[in-house]
Amino acid sequence: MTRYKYIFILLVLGVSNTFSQKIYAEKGNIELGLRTTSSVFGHDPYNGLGIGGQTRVQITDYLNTEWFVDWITIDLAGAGTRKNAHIGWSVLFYPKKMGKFIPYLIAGHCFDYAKVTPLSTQYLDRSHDEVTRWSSAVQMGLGSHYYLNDRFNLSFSAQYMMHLGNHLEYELLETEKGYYLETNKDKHTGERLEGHVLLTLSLNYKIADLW
Amino acid sequence: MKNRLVFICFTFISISGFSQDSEIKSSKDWKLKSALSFAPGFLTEKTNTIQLQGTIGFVKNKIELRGDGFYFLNSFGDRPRFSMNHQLYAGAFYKFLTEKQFQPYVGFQPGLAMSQSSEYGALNFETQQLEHQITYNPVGSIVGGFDFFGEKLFYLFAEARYIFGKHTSNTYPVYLDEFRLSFGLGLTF
Repeated sequence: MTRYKYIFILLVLGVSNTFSQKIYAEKGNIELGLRTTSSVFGHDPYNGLGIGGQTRVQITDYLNTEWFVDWITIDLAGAGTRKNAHIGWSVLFYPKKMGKFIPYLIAGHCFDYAKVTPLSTQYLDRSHDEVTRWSSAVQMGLGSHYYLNDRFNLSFSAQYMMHLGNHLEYELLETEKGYYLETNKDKHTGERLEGHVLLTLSLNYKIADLW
Repeated sequence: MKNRLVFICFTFISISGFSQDSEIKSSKDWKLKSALSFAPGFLTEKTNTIQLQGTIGFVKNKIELRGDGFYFLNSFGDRPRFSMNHQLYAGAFYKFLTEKQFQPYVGFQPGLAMSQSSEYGALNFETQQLEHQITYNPVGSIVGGFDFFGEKLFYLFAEARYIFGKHTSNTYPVYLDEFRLSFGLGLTF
C-alpha cells in the first residue's frame, strides 16, 4: 500500500512539474512552421498526403492566428489523381494553458484549388477530361501544441473542412478492368456542400516577440 | 576468415572510439552544421539509387532544425522507375547526449519531391508524342542516426531514413518509398 502511495505522490509531483513554471504561447509571438497534412474521409475513400507552411501571429495570450498554405495529392485508386491547394487563415483559442501542453479550438477560412486528372496511357490521351475548380472553404476543429523548448513547438490538429461553392463532378466506377474515373465538366451541377477531415502535424519555431 | 577478423577488429575499434566520455567544450549554446555527401538508396525489386545530399542545420537545447536537399543522380537494378527524383526536406530532430562528442538523434522531416517516371508516359494527342510529366509530390521521412563531433570545425555523421510518398501525374502512380543511407563529413560552427 505504501509503495502505491509513493508512486502516486511521485506521479502527481511529476505531472504538476510538467504543467507548471514557464508560460508558453504569449502575445506578440511570431512563429514560422512547416506542416504535413493528411486528408481523410473526403469525397473519395482514399487518403491524401500534403505538405505546407504556416506563420502564426499571436494577438493576445489566449488568441492566436495561423496563416497557412498546403499542397495535397491523392491517388484515386490508380485511375487518376486529385491535387488540392489551400491558402487560408485560422484563429486559435486557448481555453486553458497547461505548461508545455496547450490545447486549442481552431476555426478559419481558406481558398481552395482542386484539380482532378483522369489516367492517360501511352494509347489514350484523357487530358481534355481534366476538371478544375476554385472554391472557398471554412474549417474548424481541435488541436494542441506541445512545447519542446522556449522557442520550438510541435502541434497537432484535426479539423473538418467544408467547401462552399461548385461541386467538382467526378466518379470512380468499378469495371472489369479495374477502376475508371469519369469526369463531368458540366458547370450546371450546382452548389453543394463537400467536406473532409484534415489531420495536420506541424513544427513551429518562434522567430520574434513583438509586443 | 581473414576478412571476418578485419571486420571484428574494425568494429571494436569503432565502438571504442565512440564510447569515450569526451565532452564538448563550447562557449556558445547553439551550433550550425552543414554537410555535403552521397546518399545511396534502396528500393524494392533489387533497385538502388544514388543521390547527392546537402544539409544545413541549427542545433539548440537538444533540438535541431534541419533542411536537406537530395539531388537524384541515377538508379540501377531490376526496376529503376524514375528518371528524376529530386527532394527537399525540412524538419526537426531530437538529439541525445548533446554534451558528448557522440550524439545520436531521431527526427521527422516532411518534404517535397520533384519526380518523373521513366516507366510510364502518357500520349499527347496533339503532338502524338509520349510525355513523362514532371510533378511535385509531398513526401515524409523518419530519420535516425548519429553525429560525432571533432575538437573543432568537423563532424562525422551517419544516418538512415525511410521515405514515404507517391509520384502522381496524368498516368499511373508510382510509390516513392525508399530506404536511404547517408554518411560523411560536415562542417560545424
